Amino acid sequence: MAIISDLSRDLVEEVLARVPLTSLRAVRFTCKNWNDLSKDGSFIKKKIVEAKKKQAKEFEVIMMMNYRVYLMSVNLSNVDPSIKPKAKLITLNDISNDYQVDISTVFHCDGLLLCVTKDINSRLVVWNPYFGQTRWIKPRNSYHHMDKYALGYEKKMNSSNVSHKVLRFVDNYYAYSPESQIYGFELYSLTSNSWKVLDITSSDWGREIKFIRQGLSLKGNTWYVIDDLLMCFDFTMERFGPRLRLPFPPSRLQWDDTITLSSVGEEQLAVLYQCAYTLRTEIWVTSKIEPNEVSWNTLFLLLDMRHPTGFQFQTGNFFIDLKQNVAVVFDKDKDVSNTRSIAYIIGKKGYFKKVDLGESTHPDCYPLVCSYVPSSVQI
Amino acid sequence: MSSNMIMLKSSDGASFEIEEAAARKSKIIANMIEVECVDEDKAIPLQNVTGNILALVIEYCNKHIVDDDDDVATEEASEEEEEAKKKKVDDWEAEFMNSMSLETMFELLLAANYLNIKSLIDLVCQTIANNIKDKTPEEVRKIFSIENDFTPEEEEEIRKENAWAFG
Repeated sequence: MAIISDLSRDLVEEVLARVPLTSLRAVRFTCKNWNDLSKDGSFIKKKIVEAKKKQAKEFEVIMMMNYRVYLMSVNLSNVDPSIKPKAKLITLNDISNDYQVDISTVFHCDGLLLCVTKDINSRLVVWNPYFGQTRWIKPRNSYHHMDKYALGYEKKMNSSNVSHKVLRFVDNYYAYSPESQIYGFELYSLTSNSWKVLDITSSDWGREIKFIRQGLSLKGNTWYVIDDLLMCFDFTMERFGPRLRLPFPPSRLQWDDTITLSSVGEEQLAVLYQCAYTLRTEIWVTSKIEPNEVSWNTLFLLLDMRHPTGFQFQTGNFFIDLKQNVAVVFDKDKDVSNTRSIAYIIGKKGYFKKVDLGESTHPDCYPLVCSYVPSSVQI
Repeated sequence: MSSNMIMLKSSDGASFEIEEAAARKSKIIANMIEVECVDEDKAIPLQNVTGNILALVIEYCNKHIVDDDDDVATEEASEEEEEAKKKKVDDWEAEFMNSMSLETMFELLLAANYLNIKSLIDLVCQTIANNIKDKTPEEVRKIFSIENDFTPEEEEEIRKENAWAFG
């Protein structure tokens, strides 16, 4: 009679690679052999191959809803689209932190998730869900509640290795005294485990740095919409690139319009623009994007949102699916109650569907989505 | 399709007749046929596979050779037809694995690996993996007769390392 220890290490890896991600913790607790094996790079690579095989029809995104993080399975077939939680981040209590951690923001880059906790002093953690690894990042002194963070990586010359870094936009606008209302940038290197202050001033921007929205990482760099322009923080050069144009004339943009970024696969950037007054909604996709150069494809989607929804998207957080030719925008239901998280699927020729994602228990918490590509990057 | 028959002989001396096309599902046997070291009158000895396991392997190969023929015949099948066919294969595979004990699955996996039949390796691995899904570590240990070899300190260490996980 054969038992599991008769199998070669390679075959055990093949078996365990097919166990869903949600059972990774149980696998590691089973025995030393399995624990060692599940931390091996070759195992993680097999696991990613298996995960991708199962994604022929469906794909995965990461979402934050009600300050909790979910792995969502997305199927955008025209007839019966679905967006369902496949797994939820479950943090084990330890003695010092006897509660389930609330997460206010998730940010994806290269298979790694940067999570910001919701507690008053904010804590920062980089997490690779496929590896089950975490790295807590201590601040130089303290984080501020309004700070914005981005995750990217430096490309090393003549090497395929990259070095991951976290950009912090320091925003202490709500400080008691005007002297402490500081803005600035700091950069943390996961390799050296240290922060440094960047010498970036208002003159680099051509205007005052006061308000910066959540950025979006693509190919290791983070993109921002600043007023009516697009700018990239280059993690290799450790500075911002030139100001680049968005696909529509700057004169069209008003301060209260919605404008957000999303990634399309690992090579393209998409921008959603919604006019606050007319609710005209446009989505554009890049044909080429580098820190110092951007060109835009023809318009991906143009919609008059007065009829299907009749409101302006609050955050405009979205992603697009080029295969199904649709965009999915995340918001809440906009009736009186405002208590459901909703995915609005919009497409060409008036295609419009709503997917209810469940109750939204916090008035200020809007669903946040980020693309996700499993990776074997170690942190 | 004309079918040459070839003979396979298990480690415990049982002989099986199988269509060459089905036997070619095994990369090892396909290679042997390519380099013509298969004597038509003589059975191919498979020293690592017992008769009862070889019977299962042959059942699997016979089933899947028919499916591969279908693929050729209906190359322009519609998406629905493709799906219906895939469902039929999935149902057959589920039935095939359903009554099998874990011990038999391990032996079948070793045989599939030895004979290099990729799709059978996939099927058996996935079925064994399904036994782990949604189980606690204690349950997993019990199912697979694995001993807990962690000290309490090591267990605490793993708790810390895996504090964040999708569950």
